[in-house]
Amino acid sequence: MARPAPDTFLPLKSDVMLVLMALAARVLHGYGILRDVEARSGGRLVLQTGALYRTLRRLLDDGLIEECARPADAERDDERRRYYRPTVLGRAVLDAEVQRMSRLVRAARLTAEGKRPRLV
Amino acid sequence: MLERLFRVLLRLSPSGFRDRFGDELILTARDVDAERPRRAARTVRALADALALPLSVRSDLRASRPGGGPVRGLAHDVRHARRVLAGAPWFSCTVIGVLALALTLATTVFAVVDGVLFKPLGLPGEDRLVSIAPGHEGLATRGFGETTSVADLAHWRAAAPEIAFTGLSAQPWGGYGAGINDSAAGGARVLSDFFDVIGVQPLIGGFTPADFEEPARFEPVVITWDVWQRRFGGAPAVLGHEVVLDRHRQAGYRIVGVMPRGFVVPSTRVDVQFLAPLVSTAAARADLRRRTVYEVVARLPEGLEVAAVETRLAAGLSAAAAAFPDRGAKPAEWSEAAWRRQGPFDRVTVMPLASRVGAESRPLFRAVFVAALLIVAIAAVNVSGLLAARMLDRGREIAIRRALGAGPFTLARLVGLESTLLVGGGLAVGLLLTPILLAIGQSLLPEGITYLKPPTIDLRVVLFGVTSGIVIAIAASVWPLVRALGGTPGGAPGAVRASMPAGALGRRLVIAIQVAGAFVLVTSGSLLVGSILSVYAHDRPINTRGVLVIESFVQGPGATMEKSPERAARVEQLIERLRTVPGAVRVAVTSAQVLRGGNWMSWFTPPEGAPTPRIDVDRQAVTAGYYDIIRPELVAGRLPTAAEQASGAPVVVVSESLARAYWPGGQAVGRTLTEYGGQDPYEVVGIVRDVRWFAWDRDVASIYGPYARLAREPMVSLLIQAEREPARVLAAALAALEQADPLVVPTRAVTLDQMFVDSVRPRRFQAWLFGSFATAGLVVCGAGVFGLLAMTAARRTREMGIRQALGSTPRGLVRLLVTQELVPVVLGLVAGGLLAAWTVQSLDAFLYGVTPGDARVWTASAAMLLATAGLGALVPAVRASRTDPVQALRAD
Repeated sequence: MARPAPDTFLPLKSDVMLVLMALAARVLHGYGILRDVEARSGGRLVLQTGALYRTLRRLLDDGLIEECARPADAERDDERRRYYRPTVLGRAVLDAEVQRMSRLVRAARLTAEGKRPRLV
Repeated sequence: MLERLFRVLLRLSPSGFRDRFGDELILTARDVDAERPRRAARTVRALADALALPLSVRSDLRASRPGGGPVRGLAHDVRHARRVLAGAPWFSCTVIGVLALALTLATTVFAVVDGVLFKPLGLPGEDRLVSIAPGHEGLATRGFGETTSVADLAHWRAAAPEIAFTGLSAQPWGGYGAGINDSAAGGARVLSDFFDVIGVQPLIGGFTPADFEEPARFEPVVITWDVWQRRFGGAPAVLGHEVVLDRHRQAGYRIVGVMPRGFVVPSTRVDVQFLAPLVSTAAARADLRRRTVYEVVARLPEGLEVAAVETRLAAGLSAAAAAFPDRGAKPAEWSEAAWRRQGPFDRVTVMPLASRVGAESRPLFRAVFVAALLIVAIAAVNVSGLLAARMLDRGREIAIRRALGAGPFTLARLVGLESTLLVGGGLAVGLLLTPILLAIGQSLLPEGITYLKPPTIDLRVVLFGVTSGIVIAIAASVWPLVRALGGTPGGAPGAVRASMPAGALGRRLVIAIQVAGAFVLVTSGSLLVGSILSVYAHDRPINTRGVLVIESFVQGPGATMEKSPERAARVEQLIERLRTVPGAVRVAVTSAQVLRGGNWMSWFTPPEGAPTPRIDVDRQAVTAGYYDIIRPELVAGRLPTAAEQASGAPVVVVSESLARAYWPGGQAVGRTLTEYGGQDPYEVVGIVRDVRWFAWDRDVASIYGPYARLAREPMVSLLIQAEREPARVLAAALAALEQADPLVVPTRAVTLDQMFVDSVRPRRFQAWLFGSFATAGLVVCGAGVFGLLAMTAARRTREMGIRQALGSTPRGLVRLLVTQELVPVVLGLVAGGLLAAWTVQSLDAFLYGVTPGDARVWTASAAMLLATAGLGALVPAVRASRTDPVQALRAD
């Protein structure tokens, strides 16, 4: 089956974006993702538990992330923890979303300077 | 908390999601619970997040999706339905009003009857608890049943040791009142094993074995949770608290325990709030003639059926009969039945306790609840009719929706949402009004009715209201839905109908049935309201204006049931003191507890040859000044002079009916009466008109004599003629009373007018209750006729157009429509009349001044219904007659 184009997933919901960004840096379990987002935002961004697992399920189903082995530094974690990392498609989607947002930011700057750039 | 919530909600989630993520999700929730600080806003967000889990475990990745989801569609429909209803304010208000009325009534009634009809007693293993009533073969049970002795119970225990017996003696006037105007505190004296047998122990404290051996000056009392909260504010220090009831002896009761919340004393007679030990000596416990246990409760072992208990107790009854002391021969003046009742029991009746407790109230409560449900049912049908009529009005809109592709589901959702919004509105208004109606109802509820649960708005009551609302919403959606789905795309009927369109028969049948039901309610309500009005209209041939009454109990010197010069002297001193109270113009005393059901015996021997020697007599021993306050209407002779009153001369005044009973032919004045067991003659100096001193709705003869010579009771009613501001005078008089003689303890302080009104409290309650049903029946029925005729008129729009085109005037059309619609109303009245004629027979015992066949009541009821139905019919008829014929003909 052909891999779907990354653009078909855009624009990403902010929760999805945050999860993918957290996993892009390192392999994490569910609670690790929550803490990573919270820590990196200084507590201003808080993911809800139920919403997180709904997002993880969708990301797994759509092939944007995958389960992986327990990392070496997490041997003392509870065995029931599951660890996730982005797939190639997942990284491509994240990359495409970053590029989309960059274009949007650039367009916003130009608009502020009185120009009329293309928005997409 | 979050972890536990997720554990529960995961069970409701799809198994695939649960198996895949369940364990880890719980771990994460636990960590979040432990580490995140708890703040209100954060907790609310977390709860919302958790609750959303079973609803949807799929999440979108994209930030937005064109078109929105089903929730967005629903929100859109809700907004649309709200706009539609706001666009027809009269229609919406009518529907909400009808629903609010019916739901308020039903919910209030439920709050009152719930304890007796539905709520379990709440005793552990209550299906094993039975009520045992002893009796005599062939003799009917009197009142609440026979009283048992502790010795009887001992014989029963010996015969059936596997059954645990206990007993209690409950009384409505337990004597535990908390002061003035609060004497209705039911109390029960219980045997020592009472708590063990019923399976509930006091929450705190309790009785000791010694409490059952010797009567104490301060009787140990266990109170209910309600009394603890209401009177003592739930104070933990309540144990040991002493309440002085007899100031002279310094006696009363001491609180030794509190029952758990929601505990109901399983008495079949009264609502009990106070429990005290049933004290008996060893000798009394062995005496089969000392019958002190009013009610016997037993716990059956597993496997023993209720029906088998009577057989198990047969040996106990025989043993008790054999041990019963010899009574000798029956005295000649005793009837056979009375003599047997004094003797040993020879049968027992066993009933499940749950069905026995509250049995006195159950028939009335059931009837009232059925009536309330009837009104709810009529309201549901009518609201359905109103909504259906509106659907026909909106035929064009529905047709357009269908043409644009709206399927049955979409239309059903539209109709369902509109019904739900209306029912929700009605329910909200109903729930807001229920506490008000309940408060009014509670102020009218007669004493002595068993409720088993205080009539209040609790979760059960709210749930009942909400459930009723949901049922109505579903029922009310059916008819309009059929209309919406069944109509032709044109929305209006496809052809000119005859004067009896198809489907009209069903609508007219509905009108006839609800008119019949409403007629029964209105006739019953009118008879009972007519009764109370007749009572109020009854002449009171005395002065009640500004008269205050303070009922008091005389403790200390003279507190006997005998004549007492000491008491008479104290009463005179009291009167002197009260005369100094500002605003008190006159003060006097009568020995009678007026308007309390009264005494039934005269002090005097009926004269020889009296045609009716045995009649009920209200006897009043009165002090000087009494006649000046009460001012009875003189028929013959004179009232005692001031000198006679002051000296307590042996003269009496009798009322007309006593004069007629003793000396017919107007020969009473100048005759003499002699006291029972005495020789001194009392001269009848005057005849006054009868005053209903027992109760406002009960005729009674009266006799008035001098207080110092005749009074025997340690109770007095102080009468004060207040010049102005009765409330202030009453307060000052009570203060003066306390100061002058603290051993004269007031128990009730009200105006004489209020006493008359209170004396017919049960009648007033019935009138209020059935009057409410009648009013609700009228309103609901009127709205129903309106809705159904509006529907008929809408269906006949085209016919109206043709009739107008052919020359019918608007007035003619109104006449046609109203006349046609009044046919089922009249048929309903006839059917309802037959039904009501049968129903009101059962009200005969409650009526006063009217008979079940009272022509005025029947005419007024029929006229009210006709007028209401006519009004309901007129509005849509006028609307239909104003239809533009051209528009009407284009309706297709």
